Parts: sequence; C-alpha cells; structure tokens
Amino acid sequence: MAFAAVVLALLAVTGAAPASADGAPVGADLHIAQTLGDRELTVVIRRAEPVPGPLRVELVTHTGTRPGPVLARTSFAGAVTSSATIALGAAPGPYDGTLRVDRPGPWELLLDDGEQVARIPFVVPALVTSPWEKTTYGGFVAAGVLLLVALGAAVKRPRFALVPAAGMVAAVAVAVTAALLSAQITPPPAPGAALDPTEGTVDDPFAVPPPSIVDFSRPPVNLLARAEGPGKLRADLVDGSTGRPVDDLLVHDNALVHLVLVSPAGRMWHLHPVRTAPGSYSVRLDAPETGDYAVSAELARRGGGVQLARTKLSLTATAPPSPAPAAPGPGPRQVGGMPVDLKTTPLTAGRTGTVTARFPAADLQPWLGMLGHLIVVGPLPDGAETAIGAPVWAHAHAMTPVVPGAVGGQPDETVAAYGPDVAFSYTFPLPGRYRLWVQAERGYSVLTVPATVEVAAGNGESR
Amino acid sequence: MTETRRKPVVLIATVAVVVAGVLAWLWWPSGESGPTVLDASTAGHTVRLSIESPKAGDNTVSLTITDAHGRAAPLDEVTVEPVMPQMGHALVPVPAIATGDGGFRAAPTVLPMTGQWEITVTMRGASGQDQVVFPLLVRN
Repeated sequence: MAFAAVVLALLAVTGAAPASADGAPVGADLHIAQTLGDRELTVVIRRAEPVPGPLRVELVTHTGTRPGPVLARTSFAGAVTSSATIALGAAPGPYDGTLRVDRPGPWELLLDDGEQVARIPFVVPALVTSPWEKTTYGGFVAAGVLLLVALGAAVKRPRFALVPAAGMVAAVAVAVTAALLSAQITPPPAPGAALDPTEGTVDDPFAVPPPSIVDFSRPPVNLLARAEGPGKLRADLVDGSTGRPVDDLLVHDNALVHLVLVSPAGRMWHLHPVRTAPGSYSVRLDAPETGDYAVSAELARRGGGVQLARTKLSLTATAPPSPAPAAPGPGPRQVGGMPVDLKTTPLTAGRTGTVTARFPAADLQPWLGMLGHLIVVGPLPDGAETAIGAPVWAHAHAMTPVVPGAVGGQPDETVAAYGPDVAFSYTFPLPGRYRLWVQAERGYSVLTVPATVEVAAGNGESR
Repeated sequence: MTETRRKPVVLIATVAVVVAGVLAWLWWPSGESGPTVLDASTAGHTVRLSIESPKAGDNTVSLTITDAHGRAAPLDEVTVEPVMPQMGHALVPVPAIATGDGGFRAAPTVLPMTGQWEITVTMRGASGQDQVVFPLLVRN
C-alpha cells in the first residue's frame, strides 16, 4: 500500500513536468521568395510528416504573374525522386502540387519554368526521441514490470517482495529525474541551421557529440555580380577566406538572397535570385538605363548571422527607356493607382525617426513575412541619384502585429488583414539627402513607394 | 531454509535482467557502425564517398565515380579538397589514385581537427571539370 502511494505521488510529480521540452528538430513550413524568370513567386514548402510521405508545395503568384506550368521536382543527393507540374493560373494566389519525400535528410526542390531551374535546399527532419525521453519511458516501463514481479512475490513470500519493490522505486526515481532535468539539457546543434545537414546528422542529432567549437559562425562572403546576357544577372557568392562557392545559405526573411539594386537614376529593385548551382544565383532584370548600378545582397550563412555584401555593376540598357518614378518628399501621392500618404517625424541625424506610409484600407498582406519593408540609401551626393557611394544602406521592417493566442507560426501571404498604416523606426546616422522605398503588398501586388527625405544635422549623430 | 535462500536469487536475477534489458534498450547504438558513406550526383557524374570512421588525423577517402549511364567514368584527374567552413581553412588538395572500375583512393587525407568539414571532390576529364561537395562531420 505504501509503495502504491509512493508511486502515485511520483507519477503526480512527473505529470507536472512533461519530458517534451527537449529540442528534437521539428520541421516547419518554409516560405521562400523566388524571382523565377519573369515571375515573382513565393514558394511554400509545407512540413513533410510522416516520412516517407507526401510533400505539399505551394506557389503563390502575384498580380501580373504570367500563367503557365512550372515543373516541380524533388531531388536527394542529386537524384530526382518525384515530380509534379504546377499549373499557374491567371488569378493571383496560391497554386499547389504534391510531391513525395522518402527519407529524412537534406533535399532539394527543383522548380523549372522551361528556361531556368531554381534549386531550393530544404531539410526533411526525422522524428527523433532524445535519450532523456527514452530514459523516462524506460524507467516507467521497468517500474511497471518490477511492480508485477513484486506483486507476484508478495503473494508467495511477502518478505522477498522488497527486492523488486526497491528496484521499482529506483526505476521510478531514474524516470522522474530524467523527466525533470531534461528541460535544462541543451539540445544538440541543429543540422541545417548550425551544422551542415547530412542523412546521418538529420537522422540522429543526438549521436552528434558536443562540437569541439562553440562558435558556428563562418567567414563573410564576397559578392561577384555580372551580366550574363541581355536581361540576365548572375551573382556568385564565394567564401571570404577560401574562395570557394558559398553553399550554406539559410532562409532569412523568407529568401535565400535579398538582392537590392539601385539604378543610376534612382530606380530600385528588390529581387530574390534563384539558386542555379552551389553558390551561384541568377535573376532576370531588364535594365532600363545604361550605367553603374549599386548592388547589395542580404543573406545569412549557416551558423552565422545576417550579412550585407555590396558591389557595383555596369549594365547596358536592355529595356526600352522609360522615365524613372518620381521620388517626392513626404506627403500624399499615387502609387500603382492608389493613394498613399507618407509621413515622417522630423528627421535628425542620430535621433530615432519614424516613417509611416498610410495605404487606403486595412487589407495589406504580409510580404516576406513582414507587414512592410523600408529600404534606406544615402546620404546621396548633391545633384545625383547614384547610390554606389552611399555610406548608409539599410533595410528596416514593420512587423505584423502579434495576435494573442495565435498558433501555427507567421501568417502567410493569403491573410489580407493588416494596415492601413505601415510604420518604421530608423535612426539616420548621418545628415543629408536620403532615398527611401517603402514596400508593402496589397491585392497580391507588391507596391513600392519611393521618396526622398532630408535629414537635418543634429548633435547626436554617429560618425 | 535452502528453499527460502533460492528465492531471492531468482528475484534478484529477474530484477537484474529487467534493469539490464532497459539499459541495453536505452543505450543500444542507434546507427549501424561502419564506414561513413555519402552520395552526390551532378548532371554528368555520380559520386559515392566512403571513409572508414572519420577522425582527426590521417584518413583514407575511397571514391566510386560513375557517369550518367552508370559506367565507370573516364577521368584524368580526381582530387579531394577538405575545407573547414567555420574556420575558413582550405587544405592542400589530395590527389586520388585510380584503383580501377571507377574506384579512386585518396590517402592520406589529413583532417587536422574534429568538427564540421566539407570535402570537395573535383573531377577533370575530357568533358571538363565537375565538382561535388560532401558535408562531413568528424567526431571527437
């Protein structure tokens, strides 16, 4: 009777602290923006579970995306395992296809529009039980078996029932200790985020010993941009220490690479090049002007933080010339046929300023996981729009508001419920003339609001 | 008395067996031991890399390289180039010696320390240069 009471008390204690806190890698939906050919798509790779099993892929199109088929394929270790054709329709929105993955590990999703093949790396996680979880379950199973043995012994020889009963108490103690302590045990480095994913590390991250290093960061990248032909840009990323292709980019703000280009006349493009080979990214851009373009790439390497690489690219005009959109100061203006009002607080170098864009209605959609994007380039030289020498090159975000009790991660692009105000806080470090671009999505169309602001000199500026 | 002395022995044996069984289930090595085998393919080549228990120090890298039709690929030169990505260390390429039937052997391939490595296999032949990269974790 006393044993039963002890067991019940211990069970109550373990029930209060479940052993689920340890961090086996769990897959999540992957959202990746891709500028595939002339289409700006958001690729959503749904979490694959169980494995082997189906893999759902959605392509979210935007206003003006050309309809037509896109061939999607899955590839493991270079061998294609399944394929599906996703027919994009004329109406903007999500179009889906179902592929198949047959094992956990590092996979590639190949998207082929007939001209270009985007190779998107992703990791299919394995369902892994941590050693602590195993210890907990094992302890309770052993306790149960020993309880039966003790009961059997108690019927025949009550005195000897003490032996299995003591074993049972020990087993319960082991299980309870493992359950209570597991919350404090650091999970192993995650394959895919900290370590290069291989079939072995994904299958059993707990088999990986504590690494001999604690700093997982990697050297910076060098950005090599060049025109590969009319309307085609290529950006090669090479390691800043070894010169080798950089093939360990993480999805950061819903893209592998955020490529921002500013033309000599002050036009801005925010593109998401497709990975065509390890370390090699490609994007289509019809340049309307001949001259030197300022180029930047924002990316995150595995185990490291986000970094910004900048370079200059000489392009020859391949598109018919057209006037660059006007970039007036703050105030109301028309963008894509709708009224947008841009306001700023008084902007002084070294003081936090706020830039707010008001759209017509509270029906904005998150783009790249954010309500809005603000790109700041400056201070610009007098009388010129060239951004090549601009010391400040920033990318600020307006976050989607947090909904209490919301589950399932960030809202995707199909949720049109935000705004109408998109506000950014940014501290302009230097006085001068800056070019801004506010980007937000409405009606499956990414709107870009260009503006020019003057930042006054203050006594708090950094140098 | 001998009867009662025997009972605890049976009981203790039962307890020991249960405990041993649980411990074995818990700590049984989950993966089969053996060489680390990694596969990768490009448009022209399929490469299988095998290392017998990768460790800090001298290692032997065995490669099996086939072409798109599954036959032994005709190659003039194959090298194995280890890089430690976190440190930004690139090591001197190790030439791989053909052992026949698409097999190559690069020994010794020295990996100076444990951790995450990237092994680039570069293949040069009549059709030009081709490369595959294998991530390799060298354990303590």
